[in-house]
Amino acid sequence: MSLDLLNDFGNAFLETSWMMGIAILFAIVIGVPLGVGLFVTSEGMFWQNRIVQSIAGTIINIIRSIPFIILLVVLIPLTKLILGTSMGPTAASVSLVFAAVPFYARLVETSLREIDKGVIEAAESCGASPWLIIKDVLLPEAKSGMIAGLTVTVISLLSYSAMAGIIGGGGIGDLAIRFGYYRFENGIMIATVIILIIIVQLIQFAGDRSAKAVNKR
Amino acid sequence: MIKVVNVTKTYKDVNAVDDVSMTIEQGEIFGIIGYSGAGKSTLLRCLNMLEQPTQGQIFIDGKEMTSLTKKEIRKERLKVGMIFQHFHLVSSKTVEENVAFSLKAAGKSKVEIKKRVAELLDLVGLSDRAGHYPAQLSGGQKQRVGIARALANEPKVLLCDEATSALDPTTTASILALLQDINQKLGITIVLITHEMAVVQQICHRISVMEKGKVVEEGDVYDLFADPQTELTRQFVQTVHSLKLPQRLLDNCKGTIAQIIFRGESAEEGIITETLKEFDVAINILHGQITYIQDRPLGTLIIEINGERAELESALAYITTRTNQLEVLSHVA
Repeated sequence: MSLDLLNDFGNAFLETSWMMGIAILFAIVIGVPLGVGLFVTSEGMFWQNRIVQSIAGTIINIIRSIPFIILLVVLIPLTKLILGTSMGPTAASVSLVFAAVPFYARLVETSLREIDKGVIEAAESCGASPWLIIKDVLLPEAKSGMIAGLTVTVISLLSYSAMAGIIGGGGIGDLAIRFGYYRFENGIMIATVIILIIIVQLIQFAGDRSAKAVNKR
Repeated sequence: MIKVVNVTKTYKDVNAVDDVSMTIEQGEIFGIIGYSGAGKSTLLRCLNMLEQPTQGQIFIDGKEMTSLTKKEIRKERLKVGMIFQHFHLVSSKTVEENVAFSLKAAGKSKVEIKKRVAELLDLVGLSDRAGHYPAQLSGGQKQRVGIARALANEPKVLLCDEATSALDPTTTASILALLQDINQKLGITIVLITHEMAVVQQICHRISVMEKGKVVEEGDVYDLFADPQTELTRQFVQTVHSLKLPQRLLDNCKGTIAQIIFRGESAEEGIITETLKEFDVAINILHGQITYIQDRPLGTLIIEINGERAELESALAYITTRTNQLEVLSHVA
């Protein structure tokens, strides 16, 4: 393998990390509050609100039902509006954020549903405010599930980020397409696949380890 | 301390609690007994407004709970602790942190919390488990954490939702002893719901018996044991205090079989001896049992009486006047 190619791999890796990093950051910063919001406004919870539930639920479902490849194309105008360009890893991260936030919000909501309702009731019987219950009961109790959900999200994002190569998003996927697919360089194609497999394994391993570490059940 | 006035709670056309009124005095241990689905758990949850009653009023320590805003209810809940059948501890928090949660809810400072948590763990005998997680504790220990959490803000009332139903008999006894201790030392009013008459017998002062959302009988525990007025109460009493004679024995009996209930002092008098002296009858004791309800004896005796009809009847009448409670189970002509 030539030095140039090694350089390309290094760059592609950095680009993938960059767009994934942005998407993960937004998934956590927006997805967690959204997931908590969905849960605490559900039936029987302290901020029960059917209108918020159905509006947020519908929007999330719509975004989640759009195939990522379509989302990539549909969001090009918006990306241009925000960033002034639709090329490069930062531009690709816009559609990754759109895919990641609703996906992770649902996973957060699901892990909150796993909490025994009695524990929440007990916290209410102590006279705790909703905010204290969210901070001190809901989030700690769902932490393990939320980490497991984040692992799933990150791995899905990795395969999405490879797709971003198609619209010139850069990253490992872009490399695989440009060299491996368009130039029929099977070696590079195989190398990128192996790299992706290793990354997925590492993410899964790290995710499982930390989910287990915080689980006190 | 607690006043429930015509409370009804309706779920989809079903009255889980149906027009219930009761008054619970300061310092009392009040039991609510009933089978599953009798509405006792719903009623208990109405007391601290975890369930909003559909109709009626609830007063705790003079405050009308049913008229308060959400924020005011939260403030009142600090004065009403609650413990649960399945403990409901936060699994990701240590024993210490679980207890501290209540104090955080009351807005206490870190220093105060630290001091109070230590006191509470000492009270429930778990000082050496402060750093453990709930999963590392036994059922009895978990319930002790639950009690510490419920008592954190020095409540006036403690609500117990089947608090011992998930525990083995020995642990149940120790938790009940702890509750009794709390009641006596701290003067906290305790309301407990249960389906076990043994629990009521051991610590309650007064009870309500519930069925289909209604209170069917209410009174002093001893009176209810000695003289249950309804079939349901009788069934509950029989779970801890019942005499069953083997059929063989009944078949062989030639005389009248009678059941006598002795209450308090009369259990200590020699009624049988005196009856034998006064009347020309023969008495054969078939079965007997004495149950202690908070140190007061309640005796049941099943006897067979033989003799001339006139003598027999006078003897039965005599025992009836002395004990007030005699029930003829069978006559053999």
